[in-house]
Amino acid sequence: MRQALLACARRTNALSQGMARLTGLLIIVLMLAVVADSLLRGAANIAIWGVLELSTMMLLALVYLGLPATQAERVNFRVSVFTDRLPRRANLALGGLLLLLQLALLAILAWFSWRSALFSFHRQEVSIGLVEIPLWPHRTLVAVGLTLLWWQAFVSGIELVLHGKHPYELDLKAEVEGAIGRQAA
Amino acid sequence: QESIKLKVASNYPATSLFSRVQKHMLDEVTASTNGRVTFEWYYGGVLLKAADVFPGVGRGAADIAFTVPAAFNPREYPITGVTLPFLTENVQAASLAFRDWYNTTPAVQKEYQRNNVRFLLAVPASENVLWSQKKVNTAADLKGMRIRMLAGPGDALSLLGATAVTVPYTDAIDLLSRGGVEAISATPFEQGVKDGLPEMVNYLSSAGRMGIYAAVITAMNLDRWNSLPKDVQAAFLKAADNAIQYYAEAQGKDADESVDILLKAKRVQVLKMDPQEEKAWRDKTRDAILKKYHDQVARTGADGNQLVASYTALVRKYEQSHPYQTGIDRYFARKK
Amino acid sequence: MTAGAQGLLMIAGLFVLLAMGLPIAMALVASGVVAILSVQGWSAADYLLGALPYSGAAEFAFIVIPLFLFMGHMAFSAGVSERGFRAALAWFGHIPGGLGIAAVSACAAFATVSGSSIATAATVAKVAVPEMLKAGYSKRLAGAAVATGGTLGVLIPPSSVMVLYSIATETPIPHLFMAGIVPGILTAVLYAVLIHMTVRRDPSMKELTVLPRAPMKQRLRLTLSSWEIILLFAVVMGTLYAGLATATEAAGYGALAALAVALARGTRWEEVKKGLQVSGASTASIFFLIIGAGIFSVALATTQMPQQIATAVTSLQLPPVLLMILLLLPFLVLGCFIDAASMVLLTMPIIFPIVKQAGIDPVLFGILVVKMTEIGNITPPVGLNVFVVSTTCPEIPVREAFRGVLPFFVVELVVVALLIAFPSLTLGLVR
Ligand code: NA
Ligand code: NA
Repeated sequence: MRQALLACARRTNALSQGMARLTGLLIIVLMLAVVADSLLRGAANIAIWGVLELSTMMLLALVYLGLPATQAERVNFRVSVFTDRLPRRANLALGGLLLLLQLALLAILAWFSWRSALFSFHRQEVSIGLVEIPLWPHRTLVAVGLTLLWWQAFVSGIELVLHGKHPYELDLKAEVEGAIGRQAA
Repeated sequence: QESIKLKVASNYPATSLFSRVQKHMLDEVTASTNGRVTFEWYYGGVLLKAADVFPGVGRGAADIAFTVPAAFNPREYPITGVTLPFLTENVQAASLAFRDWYNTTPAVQKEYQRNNVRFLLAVPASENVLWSQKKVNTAADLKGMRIRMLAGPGDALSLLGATAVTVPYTDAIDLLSRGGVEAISATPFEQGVKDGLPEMVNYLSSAGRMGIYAAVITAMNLDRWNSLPKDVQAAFLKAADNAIQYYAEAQGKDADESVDILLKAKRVQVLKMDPQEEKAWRDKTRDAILKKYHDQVARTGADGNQLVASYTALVRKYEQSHPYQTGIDRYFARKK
Repeated sequence: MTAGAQGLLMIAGLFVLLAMGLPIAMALVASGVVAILSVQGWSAADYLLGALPYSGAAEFAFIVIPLFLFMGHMAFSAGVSERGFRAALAWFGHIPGGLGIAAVSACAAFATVSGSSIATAATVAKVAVPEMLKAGYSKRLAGAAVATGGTLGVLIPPSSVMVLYSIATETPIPHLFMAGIVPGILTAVLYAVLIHMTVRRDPSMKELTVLPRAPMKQRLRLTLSSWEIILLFAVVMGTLYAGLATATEAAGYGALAALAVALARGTRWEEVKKGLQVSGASTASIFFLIIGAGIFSVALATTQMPQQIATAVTSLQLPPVLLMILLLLPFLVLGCFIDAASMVLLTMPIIFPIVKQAGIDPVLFGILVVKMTEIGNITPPVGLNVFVVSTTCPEIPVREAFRGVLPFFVVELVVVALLIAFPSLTLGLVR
């Protein structure tokens, strides 16, 4: 059981990090799309349809598919002045308490986001402008991202219980072991 | 009697003419119900962004919405998009006609019911104009011109040969100053003046008198509406009727103020378009624009031609009783 | 419960969660979600909370953040930044604080092509902070100088926050852009003076960092070798001023040019990939904060607390200057938690009618608001610029940078006071 849970945690972390790495590559697509659109408009009076909407979608992918990795790697900004002074066990217990709150609130947020995506699909929501691009995939992306973030936070809970790993504290060792993140470049 | 507090949401800023009209109307509701009904205001997209205003109010995130659902939610409000270019310039006639059209046309009522809101008021934006760096007198002048456009004027200008640039309005103003776009369209006359366009472009034209191309609609969450006592509902409908007159006067005053600015502007030259050419613009685009409306409306099973015909008939009726002068016409009248 | 009490409870809740060590973005989300659920009820919250995570991020103009982050990475890995700072060092190195002044100048120069404070801080941080640390500057000063210098990105046109203010108040954008120029230069000059004085007063830092005057020949040679910086500026500014690109699109050209320079300098694809991934990761954590601040600000608005404060202020019947100061004060408090964009969108509908009624110049007030929201970008606990500098340069701990910001914060208040006392500083170019 313990082994299975830990394996699942490892796989989740790998998935989150892989997803973030993959979506990072989207920046190059974003760059090329924006440049091509403006070049064609300026030089040839041609407008590429949908660049605006697709760029926004790529940004959403960057943000929401990148979010789980920020939890997996514990790189979200936080104030640790007070908790650093607590005994280790108390600090971990407090982290666990906050994680429960986070899981509850993310569940609510993810639930509402799924409903929002579904509603968008039902009413055939489209983008504003001369070209109508359906927006339900955009909203679905948000819901998927929040759900994965919830799952990643849940996995942080498993790691806390089985490994005594703090859900928010930056783990330098993991970072050095090749995680994407702040020490790069 | 219990007091009622309603949340009002829009993407329009508090200072805009549209918001002032709503404020006037809802203040009247508060007064006529002796303070029983009060309002909590959320302007500028603070609560709901443009595309969320109508769906949000339909789902109870706020009680009253005002914005242009036909532009921001075209699939949900296809019939409401009846304010097509080249149909009328007269804001008051368009507003009164829309009210009567709603009251007498089941297909229109169904559109609002389907989205779970109750229609209260239509406030048409004043006429479309074209702010350009190059002189635009004929359709040939538009060929290949990069114009910021959307909605009805966008369809018309594309059909006449212009290149559509769909960047946001504020980006467009920025691009205009550096030649990235050569003209800006799809903004009401007074709006462009307020935003400083007379000092940024060389020419202002009526763009073939496309006239009104969008209407700001005020609507209430349907469940909320049904829960209101009959006398309160009546107070809303009466205030909405009075708001039409208030808007006509306030809009006229804004147009006059804009003309003041335009008369003093050093850079911009206001063009007088040849009526023959105006007719040519209308004739070249009319069928395609009507067809697009027809196709959009067809999804709901309604007959677009019939809807346009009945709306147009009402507009013509009110045009007789309520004369209107466009901003550019006011300009030439005062310049002499 | 009264609106004021609800609002205060919300802020108190946020503080408690922050002190307990919940990540800041999650703390903003948590207090926002709880407040919306309790004030609005489940069914109204349904649509609001479903829409906010989407609408908070789905904004085309926001793509400048990943693009400029990537541009900074490429400029860095191609050694462009290093050569640039060698040149700056040759010119300014003999002045105490010279490299810091060069960093602020770089922020000001970059601000003329970028409308975003975060992007300016990120790009210049990548370039300047490692050089400053190598030269012997304290982490505090290096981090704070760039985080604060980044605010020039919004004060000097083009400016994303001015555009939002313009939309919210119907003030013409060109007027606001013109009005931002002098206050922007004034701010940059005062930062430079502060850096100069800080280094002069610190004997150890002064000894370490003040270099012998470089000969003219060396200055020219190093300046020539840093031509790529000029190329990058020329690409971003050129596409912008030629009308080829919007302020948003110019970021795309900048990123592409930086990539080209990096490849020409022999940067390998592996390095490019890493740059993309790191920029992507930073984008996610920065947007988590933006989205959290968005939810928090909607929640605060629904408690009606800001609206009630505005009503109270109006009833005081103060003279315009005093009223103006009073209206600007809340920004110091809000700025601690909320990002610049949300702050403008949240406060203007409430405050601007008062401004108009009192006869305060909307352009002057706009510049002051921009200034105040930018101060919010460097104040703890939520100081986006400080976070960005720390993410870009992990050598700089957030805490150290926040400490270093304090004297800059004082300078900012001095600038605000000067702008209020001499309106022509702001309005001179507009009229
Ligand atoms: Na700028
Ligand atoms: Na802050």
